[in-house]
Amino acid sequence: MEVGLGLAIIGIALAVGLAGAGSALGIGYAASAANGVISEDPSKFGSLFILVALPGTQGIYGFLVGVMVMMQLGLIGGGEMVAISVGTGWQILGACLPVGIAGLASGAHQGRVSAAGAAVVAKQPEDFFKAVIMSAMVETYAVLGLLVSILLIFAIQL
Amino acid sequence: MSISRMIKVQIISLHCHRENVVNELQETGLIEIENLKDSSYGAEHGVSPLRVKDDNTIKNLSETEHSLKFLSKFRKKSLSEFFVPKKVNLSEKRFRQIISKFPVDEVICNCDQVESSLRETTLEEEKLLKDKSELLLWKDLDMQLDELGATGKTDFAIGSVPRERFDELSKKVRETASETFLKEVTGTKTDKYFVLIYLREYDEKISPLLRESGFTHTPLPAFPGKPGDALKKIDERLAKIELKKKELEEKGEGLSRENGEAIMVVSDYLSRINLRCEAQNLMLGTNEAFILTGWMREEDFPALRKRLSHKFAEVALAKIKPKKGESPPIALKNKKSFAPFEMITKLYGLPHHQEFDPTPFLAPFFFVFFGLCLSDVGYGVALMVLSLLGMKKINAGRQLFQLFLITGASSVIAGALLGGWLGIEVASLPHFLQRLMLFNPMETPIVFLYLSLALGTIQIIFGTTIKLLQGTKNKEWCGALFSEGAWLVIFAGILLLMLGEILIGASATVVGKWMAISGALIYIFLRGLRQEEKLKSIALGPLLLLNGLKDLLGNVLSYSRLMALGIATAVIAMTVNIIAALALEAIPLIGWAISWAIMILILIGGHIFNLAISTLGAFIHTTRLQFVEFFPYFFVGGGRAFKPFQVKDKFTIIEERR
Repeated sequence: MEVGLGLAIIGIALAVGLAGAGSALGIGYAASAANGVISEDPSKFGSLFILVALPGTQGIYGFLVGVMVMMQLGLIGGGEMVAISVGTGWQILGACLPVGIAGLASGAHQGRVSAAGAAVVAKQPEDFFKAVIMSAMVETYAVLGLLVSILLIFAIQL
Repeated sequence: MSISRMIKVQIISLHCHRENVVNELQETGLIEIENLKDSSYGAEHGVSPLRVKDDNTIKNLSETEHSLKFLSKFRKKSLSEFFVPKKVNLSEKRFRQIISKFPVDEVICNCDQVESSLRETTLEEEKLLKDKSELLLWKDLDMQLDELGATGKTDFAIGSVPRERFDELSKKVRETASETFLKEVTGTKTDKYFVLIYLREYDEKISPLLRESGFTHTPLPAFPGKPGDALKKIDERLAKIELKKKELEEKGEGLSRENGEAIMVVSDYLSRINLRCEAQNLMLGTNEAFILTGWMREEDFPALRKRLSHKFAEVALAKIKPKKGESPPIALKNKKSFAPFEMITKLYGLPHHQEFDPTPFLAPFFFVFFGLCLSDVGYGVALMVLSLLGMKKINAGRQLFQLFLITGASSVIAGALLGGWLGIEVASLPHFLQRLMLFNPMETPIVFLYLSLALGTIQIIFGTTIKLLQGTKNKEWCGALFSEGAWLVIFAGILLLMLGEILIGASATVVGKWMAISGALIYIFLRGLRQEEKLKSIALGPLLLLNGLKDLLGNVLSYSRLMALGIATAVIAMTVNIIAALALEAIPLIGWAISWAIMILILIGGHIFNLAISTLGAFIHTTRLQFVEFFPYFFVGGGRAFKPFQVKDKFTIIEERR
């Protein structure tokens, strides 16, 4: 029993941890580039803020999957703790991986695109939203990871 | 369709009217002035470029903007200014009043004075602070600094040695030379500072001692009197400077309060003049007359003609024929309910002049998709309220706020249908709200997924149909029917194959199969036969078909993001509620008042956060679906935007113009 729960918790940790790491890397790149632009022109803060916030979604998606698993297992939300078998534990661990892995890679790379977008804001402020769309292209794969993780978690029979 | 018809016009008049005509054109903002200087027009017609230069305006403008920047430092900034720069709202009459009465030179002069005094004071303060930090080291030295130095018979050393070496050094110095003065003045964590005065004759012995102990010479600050006194003087001076700075800052605040807005107005006025100069430089002229050409909306032509002929006796405005290969700029024109969605089209790029405006086609999809992504009644209402507030308070991005107002309404509808009420669990909702719900995405997410894919299929079929109709409209009957038409047959066939058995019956599957096959055959053979290299086209047909099918599959699956984002909004909202509820469990520890306060804070903060990221996500991904999945089926884009010559105020908003 405890092994099953342990596996599920590793799954939660991977979903939240990997996706969060991806976002942290991504925002790191984007925010440093944005600060460079702000040092020249502080009035561009608004547009840059959106660009910097974009790679943050992966972390949220991972967190969201983590919370969903916790809710399903009764770890939070006041319900009874559900006892799960080792097999189910592995299933939950597996279900957490798509959002974690996709989040890690896409978060970091979306950050690079956003960082390049900061240059667009600096040089062609009116085309700022095009940079946002470019950045969102990367996010697609985090969304797909989230989608599969959600579907799997809903599908796993406890 | 919803692109304004553009015409090319020319205006010819006399130089004596030039300033006024240009002014009038700027006020009306209806015409995009073409750059004639770089075209062959001048050479062909024997007219030369105008050279209008106004260095004074440019100089004044830069001075005004400098003062404006300086004054804005003293203004208290509101939260919205963090994101959108402040603007002044006023009437045209008030604008003119300020221009005629405001003593701009005097104010700029005052600003410069305050600024330079402030700079001087700050510099002095920095220097004093530096001196102070040097002096502080010697503050316990009870000697006149200017008297300290070598004399005929004595020499002196002043500086530091490492702390642990000091005792040894002082012992050795005393042993070597009896008549010395060694005083420890101060110390840091690692070093001790001291003054050593000794008779010159001992120099040979003392210098090596100092060297061995790792002595570092420290220059004495150049001040008269004792360090303590000097410090006192510096502190007095600093206090005075502090007062002076405060006084100057108050002066700056006063200037900013009294003149901040007026200076903004003047700056805009000057930049209007500057723009008019630049516009005149695009024109050509003879000794007596000038000519300009440009583009304008056909519908505006009569009004502009009437206005110009009313005001000026000698102005000729006439339509002219565009040159071959010249394409007009694009101005979109949509019904009021679709107009906010123009923003999305503009983001992608305007249609070129032979295309039509895709705005009305994307608008309904954008509406529905955004709603599904946000799918929460609470967030929808919040979005609507915020957009209304934004429209009232912020003078920029009006179209964006309108868009959010509309899509907020869509979120309210979607939220009611999908049971999204700020993340409250469906089971605990009032009964009548539960009955509004079509299905519960939390229990049957797969239905949500099917809904998303179905909407995607509809949009893609719609896009293909548009392309088909476009083809038939251009009388390319066969081309359109054999490619887009064939695709539609294939779509219908595949849909029947997949869903026919459930919806209609087993026979539908057979029909579907044959429809798909016949569509594919039409696509490969009939389309191929119409191409130039018939055999090659037919041979490549199946590959194109497969590639199209692959794209189709990818595109339809891409719409699954609607479900992912919709559920994400709901789950984050739910998580916020759960975390907030945890605060209540702490009642025995911290009392009910604090627990409730924490809970409410978490609820408000959490839901604002979710609203922000979910709205951003919904907007971006809905837009992307239009650009990446929908547009390629029928839309190319690449038109040049119509940029009329008009007033471009940076800091003011004229009420009449809103």
